[in-house]
Amino acid sequence: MRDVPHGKERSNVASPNPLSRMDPERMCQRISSVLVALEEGLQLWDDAGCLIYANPASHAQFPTPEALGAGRHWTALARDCRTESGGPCPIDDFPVARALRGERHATPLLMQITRADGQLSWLRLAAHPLPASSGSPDSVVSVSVDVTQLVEQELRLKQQAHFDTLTGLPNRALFSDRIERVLAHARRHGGRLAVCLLDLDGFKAVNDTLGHQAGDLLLRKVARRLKDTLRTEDTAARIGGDEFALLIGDLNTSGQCEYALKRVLDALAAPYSIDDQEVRITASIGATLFPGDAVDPDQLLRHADQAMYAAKLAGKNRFSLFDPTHESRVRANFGLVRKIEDALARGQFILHYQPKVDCLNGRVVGLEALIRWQHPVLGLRMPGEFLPLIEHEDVIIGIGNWVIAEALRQQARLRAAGHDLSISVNIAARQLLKGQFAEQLDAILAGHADADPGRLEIEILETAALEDVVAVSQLIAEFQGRGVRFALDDFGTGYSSLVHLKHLGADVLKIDQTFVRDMLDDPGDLAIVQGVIGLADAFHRDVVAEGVEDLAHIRSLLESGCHVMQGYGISRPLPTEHLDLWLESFEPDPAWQRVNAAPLH
Amino acid sequence: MENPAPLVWNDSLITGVAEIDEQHHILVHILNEAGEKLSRGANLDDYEAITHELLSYALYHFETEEALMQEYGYAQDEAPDAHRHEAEHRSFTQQVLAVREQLKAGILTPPDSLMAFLNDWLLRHIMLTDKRLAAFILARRCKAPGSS
Repeated sequence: MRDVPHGKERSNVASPNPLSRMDPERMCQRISSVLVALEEGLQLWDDAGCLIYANPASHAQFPTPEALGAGRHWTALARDCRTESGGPCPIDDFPVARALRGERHATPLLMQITRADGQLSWLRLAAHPLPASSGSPDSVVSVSVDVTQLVEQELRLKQQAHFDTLTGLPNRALFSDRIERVLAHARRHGGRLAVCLLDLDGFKAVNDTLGHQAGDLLLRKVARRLKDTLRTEDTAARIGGDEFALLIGDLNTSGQCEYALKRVLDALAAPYSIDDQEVRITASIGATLFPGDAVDPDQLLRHADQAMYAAKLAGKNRFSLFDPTHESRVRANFGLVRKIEDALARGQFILHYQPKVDCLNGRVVGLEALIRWQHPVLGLRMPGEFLPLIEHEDVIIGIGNWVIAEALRQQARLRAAGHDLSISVNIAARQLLKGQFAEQLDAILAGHADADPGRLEIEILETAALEDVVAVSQLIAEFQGRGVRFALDDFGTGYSSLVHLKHLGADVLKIDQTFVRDMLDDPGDLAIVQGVIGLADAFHRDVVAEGVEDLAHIRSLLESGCHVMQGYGISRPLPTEHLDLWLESFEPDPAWQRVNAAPLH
Repeated sequence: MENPAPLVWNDSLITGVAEIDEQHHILVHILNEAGEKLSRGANLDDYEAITHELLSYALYHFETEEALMQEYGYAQDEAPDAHRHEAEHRSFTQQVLAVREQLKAGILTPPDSLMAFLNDWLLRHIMLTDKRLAAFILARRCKAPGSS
């Protein structure tokens, strides 16, 4: 387009040699008649940039004839012209201006002109200085060529490059361009939009069984349905074999997007008639919403693609919305797991010990070791805040092993100080069921020869034990041989059957604190507490009540036949530095003894 | 009963401290997601997943904020604000733990009261407590440009 030859015009005007033998008047006539007949526009300017002459073609090319009046400055002409992109013509770069400055080979300028009839035309304007004897130009000639046809043809080609030839839908390039535009609009005016990728489910099978022509026909029909289902202001594009993209703008809520996508899915799923055969096909759609998600079109498409993949995985013929926070959340979770691993390595975990007291006989019978995280920023954190976050991670096994070792060390230390107490530790389901718990426990016991395995109790959540009753009962049986006892923790929450209880062979049932806490107000909870006590008695298991808060709890439990209990009503979990003093100064509360507890049977 | 309106992320929630705002944005998203699940009739597993996510993100987010407090000496300069701020964090965690404790006994906290608590807590905490902290941090950052 920029290479339209302009040498011809130059030879007609600037090289008058073939005419030099004619007499001047005849020559002038000849030149005039050439200029009048010329298809190209030609304008002659004086050294001040004012028009001397413009041939008739010029008048047809420019919309305001006054601008071509004799003596008019070239800037009047420049005002009518716009650049290729539609902006005003740069005055300094206007070819006439450059030629007036003496530039001989200035690039011609491609310009848009809106003609008097409103039609858009394209002109290519070149200008050349005509040298005077002094060397500086005493005039300038400019030549304007109408290149409208050429430019329009090129635009048409460009247009074709933006549409898919099979379906007539915009292609990927145009789609990206549209996203850009809609995004810019949404950013300025605060609209919401959805970028979606749609992939046909099982299109290959149609191609394979009915042939490519049928496949192409199906794609055309799909394209038509997409167009018909979407509003005119939305865009459906074909961006690959059986992959389409949708751009849905002007959304007020994410619900509107879901509604539109449901309509698309329904429309596509209706049967197609191809070569007199009924063909059915569905689609999977992934969508992402702006604002909320990224601001970059490529990233929006990538996220829509991820969501589309999720829709495929979830069973096809559905849509899935991209969750822009997913990555950050996964990162946060992963970061926490790393922090907990780190905390274990740095010794940020400690154990507190909650005494278990036999309130009937007025003596301390054991301690439950409870983990705490001495968090460098957040202070002392309770296990309920961080253990759930790693219950499916291997680090929970490392923590479990550390707890057992630390509890054994404490037990040996207390024994040396004259307190021969059983210490119980809590072990997670993952450690129990997935790890090599037997080997690990053996190794830890071997490393603490001064501790008494008969004074170690492993607490397992009832719910964890029920995950694999056979494996857990084997473990229990194996370690009972070595004196280690097992307790079923939070008993009552896991709905164990009597058969399970018989198989599990645990030594102790611990009544969950939620039942104990409400047993005085809620007859149902009291019934559960009494039921567990009855079960323990029937199966010859020990029973411990957790979460005892006050004297009324203690008395009620004693009356029901449960003697061993723990909870704030007796003592909070104690850090080791307070433990010894508490043990030494322990006195049973005489108020407990006023109850005449009778055995349950 | 009508579902509580979802908390919509908007400019009034911005504190001006980028790392805090980014995490608040995610918290709002988590709450809305929870609200949607609860409004569809959540079961025990859904409650477990929702409270798990809340505990996890709260621990992560509270650490970010409290580390910033330490970094800028909030507790030294604005002791009552700092203590109240930390207490609000602890009370959030306590509430979520209480919901989980109930779950253990098979009790599902009513969705409306759970969502009302979560939305109310987050909105109040951001608008009143976090914005005070953010103002303090931003003032410090202005005073010492280039140093953090």
